[in-house]
Amino acid sequence: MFERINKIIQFTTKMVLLSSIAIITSACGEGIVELDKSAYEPKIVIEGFLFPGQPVRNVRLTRNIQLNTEIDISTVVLSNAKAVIVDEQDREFALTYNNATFSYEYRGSDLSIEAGKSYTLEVVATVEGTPLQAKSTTTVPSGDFRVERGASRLAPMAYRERDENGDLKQFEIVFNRAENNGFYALALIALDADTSTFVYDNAFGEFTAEDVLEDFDEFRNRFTWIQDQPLEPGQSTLEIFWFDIWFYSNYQAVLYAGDRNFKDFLTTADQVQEIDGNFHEPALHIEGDGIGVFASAIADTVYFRVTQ
Amino acid sequence: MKMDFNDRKGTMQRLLYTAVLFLILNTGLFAQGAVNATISGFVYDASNGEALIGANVFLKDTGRGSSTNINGYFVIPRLEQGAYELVVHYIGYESFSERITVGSGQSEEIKIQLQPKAIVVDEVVVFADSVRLSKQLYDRPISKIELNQRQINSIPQIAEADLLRSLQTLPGILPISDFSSALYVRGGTPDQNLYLLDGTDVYNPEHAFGLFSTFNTDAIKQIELSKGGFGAEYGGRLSSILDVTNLDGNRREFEGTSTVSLLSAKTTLQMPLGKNGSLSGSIRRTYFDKTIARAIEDVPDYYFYDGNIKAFFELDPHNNLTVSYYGGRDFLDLIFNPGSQQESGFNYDWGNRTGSVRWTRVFTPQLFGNFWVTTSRFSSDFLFGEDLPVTERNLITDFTLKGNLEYHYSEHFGAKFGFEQKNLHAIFRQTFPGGKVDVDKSPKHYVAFFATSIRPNIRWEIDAGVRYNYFNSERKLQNLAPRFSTKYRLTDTINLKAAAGVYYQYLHKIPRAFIADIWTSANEYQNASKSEHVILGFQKEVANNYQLEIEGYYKTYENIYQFDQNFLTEISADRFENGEPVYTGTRGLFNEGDGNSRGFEVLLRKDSGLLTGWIGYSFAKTEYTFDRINNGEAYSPRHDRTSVVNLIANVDLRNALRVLKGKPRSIDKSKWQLGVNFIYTSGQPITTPGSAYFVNTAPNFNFFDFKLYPSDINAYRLPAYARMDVSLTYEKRYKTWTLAPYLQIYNIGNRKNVWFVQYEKSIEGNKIVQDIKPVHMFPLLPSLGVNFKF
Repeated sequence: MFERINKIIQFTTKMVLLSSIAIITSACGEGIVELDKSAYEPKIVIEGFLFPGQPVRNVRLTRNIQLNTEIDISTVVLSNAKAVIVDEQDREFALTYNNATFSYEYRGSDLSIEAGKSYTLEVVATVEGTPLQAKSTTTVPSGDFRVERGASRLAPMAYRERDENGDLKQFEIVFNRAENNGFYALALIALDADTSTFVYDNAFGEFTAEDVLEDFDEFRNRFTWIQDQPLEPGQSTLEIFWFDIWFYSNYQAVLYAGDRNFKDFLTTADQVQEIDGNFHEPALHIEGDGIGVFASAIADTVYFRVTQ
Repeated sequence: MKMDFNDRKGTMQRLLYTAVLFLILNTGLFAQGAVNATISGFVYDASNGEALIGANVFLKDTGRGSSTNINGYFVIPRLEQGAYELVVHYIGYESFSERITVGSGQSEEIKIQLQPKAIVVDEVVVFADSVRLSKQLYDRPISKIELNQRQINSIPQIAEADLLRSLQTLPGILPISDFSSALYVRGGTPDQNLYLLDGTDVYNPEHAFGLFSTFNTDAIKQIELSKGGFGAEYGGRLSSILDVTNLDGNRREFEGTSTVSLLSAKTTLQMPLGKNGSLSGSIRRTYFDKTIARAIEDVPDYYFYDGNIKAFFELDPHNNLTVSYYGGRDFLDLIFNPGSQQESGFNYDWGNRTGSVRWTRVFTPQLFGNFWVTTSRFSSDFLFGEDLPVTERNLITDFTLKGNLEYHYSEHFGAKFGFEQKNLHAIFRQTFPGGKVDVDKSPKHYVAFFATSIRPNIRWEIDAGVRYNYFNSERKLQNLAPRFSTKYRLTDTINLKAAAGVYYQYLHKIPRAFIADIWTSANEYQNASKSEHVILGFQKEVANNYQLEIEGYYKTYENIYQFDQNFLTEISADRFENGEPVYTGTRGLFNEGDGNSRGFEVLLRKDSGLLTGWIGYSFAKTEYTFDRINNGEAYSPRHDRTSVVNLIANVDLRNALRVLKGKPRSIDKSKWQLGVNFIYTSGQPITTPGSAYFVNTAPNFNFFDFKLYPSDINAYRLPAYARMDVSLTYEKRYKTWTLAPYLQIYNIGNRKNVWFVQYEKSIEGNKIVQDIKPVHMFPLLPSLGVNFKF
């Protein structure tokens, strides 16, 4: 009986030791991430915005880039794509590539973008030997959209200036809404941005000049939006919060009354990575083998200054 | 009112209805003649008076027996008059035996006090009067796991023992990452788990952004986790039930335990209340706001406290009353740039409060009842600084009346029936620039259930029941949920089990990483979720004290909801106030889908001896199909892992060495305890960016605005996850005091397990180079602490 127990104990001890070695080995080291290159699918990338009363121009057609590879930037632009704008009467307007702007435009005089009308962009191109096609339709917003400069708070202001009550002041843009349009985006560009004008003593993070240079475009170009505004005519207010201000600078502020494509692209294209790191699809209204944005908007531009 | 049997045509559901109906109609089948004596009573721990749950009680040489319920109550009905030897057996306690004589029609009530064993021996010798391990396994419902305080506390964790993290060491139960204690049970998501604390629902049972659970392990008496196939007495969730029972309190003497670690301090005190009552209370507080946050500038001021108090009163031999309260709150103050003169930040606090009053009544020896009045409240408050006018109030309250009754007609037949009325109130108010959310809903949920238990012979048991749900919110929903399970003792060491059931859930959750989730209910936009379970189980007692359990399962999901990550594109204002949108419902917040989970689990477990613990393996596959995700094609959710290996081992080092040297083990005043927790999981699905592209976000921007576009959803797998944690505890006893300093090392191999992947771009010349930067989970984390018992 005891002999049997001893044998069991010895066998168990050996098994435990062997298992321990296996376990300790697997519990050390590092998980190596290697991207599966087969995840890449070539796509036509569209960047096109239509504005009422303006010609069709600066429609950029590029290709997407496989990750973890070195790509020659000059090969990204699709300069030999076939791109046409189709209006509500199914009339086609072929776009021409402009070598100077690396973008497509319509050079004829018979296409005028009209408020309230829908336009479809159709693109055919070959990417890495694969013929691709993409299509997207936008409906141009209409109405008497404009910034009410008199009602807006755009006078020069010191960074995080406070009023006589000690409350934080903010720039505000008051605007007349477009017709049946609930979405308004504001794009800010700091016109005098550089490392010397950066607000180092800010409320939101500690940055060095190197940090500023590394993410310079993100600090300089900011956007914000409000959505689901009433569809009937009236005024709305968009506040500019201090976390979008990173430079003591003059600012250009372009307010857009954007269509659904504009809204969905702006609210989802930069938000594809969740807080746990996983990715999800953005809401892009492009059919076929395309990604990006084909949208329309009415724009109005104002300026303000942030002082030290 | 029209019944909503959406899937009555389903084959499985039809079979279940037929089986349940047949069994209920045949409840008189096993009625017996003039055998009407009864032995009943309660089983207690003699050292502290705590009721013992799941103790085996049987009459020697008769094959008749029972096991104690959650109140420690047992009944052996319909006995012939005569003398019997009553034997009570419970692991870790000395067996109890007493000769009892009952006359015709007589009911004998007995209170049994079991003495804890001084030492737990390794080899279990099967005596004629002891209950085989396989019988204990047989008594346990399929897919149910039971753990006690000692087992939970012996599993190495970060800084201190944690209930939910301990459960994650069992097959079929997984976390999503090191940074979450939420449970993913057999492919289900955390919102599909019902957490009960002394009978009260707990809605967001997490502290510290999910790092710790709200359950203080020193206050726990017993936990039961059902991973699926649960009976008609449980419902309201699709995947699992975690039922936590806190200590009633020591009815003999004052007793206490305290633990001080690097992150927190906690104490639990118990004392008698007169001759017929007891009181227990616990309190815990973290203090890295006073230590680490003072030393390291970037660490925010954060702490939580929680506490519970429970009083038990034995009003008379047939009536007990238990009053229980839990309260806890987390506080976070964050300043974004603490070195700056321009201060900005936010305050966030959240917490649970639960309370229950339970009346336990022995109406007759054969009819036993528990009745609860419970209340549960979760709230969180968020206040951003003056830079962004964002405030948030998230509140859910639950006031419930419920009763569960057990009727033990004979050894062949028993029944359970009960009711539940749940009054919910959910408020979510959020203000933000340009609008607000104002949700205020008060749904009601009514439940009635009936279940029969038929035991044609000593080797076979069939349980069938049905649960009726009536949910009244913006829409009225009615469902019947049939449940069925059976178990069969194939041999003295082998049990076979099977279960099937239909489950409905009327509450849905909007998960929010690191902050409190928001609960919503079925309404005009969201339906009730539904799941069907089929489970087959095999249990074997190996070498007298090893439990081998193998279970295979298949689960379906219908109308399950995932928070729509692109919700901003779908929502629309319900009304306007001062020209600003107000959102009052859940329109556009969720994607609706279906899915299934399937797999099998193997568990080899040893609960007594010098070496205790378990080895588990699980194979699982979960697939979802959602309309607006992955182009409507099936994909694996983020929590799906194909293979998982768990190993938990606790060793009494000194006695183990003695045994290895061939010496007898002994009871020492001190001992060294080694704990090991090892987990290996195959890679987690993740969606990678399939490619990058350049598009300026706004028309007037003009720079290389780099964006990522995902590949197929969750088509890629992260590297395998592996981790080993070790704890070493030195326990020294001095009279009635015990001092136990401990060292815990989390991730002792310092393995760099990948949490997710970041992508960094750089432009070199006219080339774009993307670098993959894995973000790792917890590195090696040592922690020290000391535990006192007095």
